[in-house]
Amino acid sequence: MSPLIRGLVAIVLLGALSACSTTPLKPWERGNLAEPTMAWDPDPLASQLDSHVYFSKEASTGGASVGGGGCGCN
Amino acid sequence: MIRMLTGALMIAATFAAQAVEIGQVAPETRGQRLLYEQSLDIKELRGKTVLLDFWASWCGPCKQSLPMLDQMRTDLVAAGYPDMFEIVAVNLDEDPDAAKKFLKRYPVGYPVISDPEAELATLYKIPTMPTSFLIDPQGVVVWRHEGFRASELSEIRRRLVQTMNGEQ
Repeated sequence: MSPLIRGLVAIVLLGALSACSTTPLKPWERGNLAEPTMAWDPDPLASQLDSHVYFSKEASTGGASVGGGGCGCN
Repeated sequence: MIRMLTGALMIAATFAAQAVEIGQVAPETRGQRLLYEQSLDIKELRGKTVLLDFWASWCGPCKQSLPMLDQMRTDLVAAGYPDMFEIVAVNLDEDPDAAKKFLKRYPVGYPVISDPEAELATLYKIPTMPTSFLIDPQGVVVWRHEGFRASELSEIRRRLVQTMNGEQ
């Protein structure tokens, strides 16, 4: 086998092996990801409380998601 | 060595091309019914239009689609299409108990088959959840619908009625 072919085979094999790590989940394999505990914000009540503490402390009306320092001018 | 590699690539390409395409006869589709000790093969439904709907209990839109498809089925039966179609749901939950719990909350009148190993989902190459396939009375896949929004029900109904009436 010539060095060119050997190199080509090595590249193909390496590509095939590394591709396995990036295989996305199939649509029907997302059951665990759909669990409520996997949500970015799993407890809306707790996050509302956190948000209330934040904007009371920082005097930033509108909470953390709105830009500005609570001057009411934006 | 090169011949072996070419052969392997050709085999891989053959498997990749085996997805269910529109215009193709539906592959063998059978499974154990979820709520009854019976199996169901959609070949038994030849002569009827079949809406094959893939879903899972954890899928958000399925909470809307199952009750709405059930209502559509009831409406179509009342509208004079009693023996011309059937909806067959394929459940993809790994845990069939989760699906049974779901169906207790959202009961449906059409048959549900269980596919915990996702063999049918792999065969049909489901792109998203839910996905449904419309299969005509000759067993040919005529339409595929991906996802579900309440506003899309009229389109599903229109396609179903068109297929039942042989107007494709």
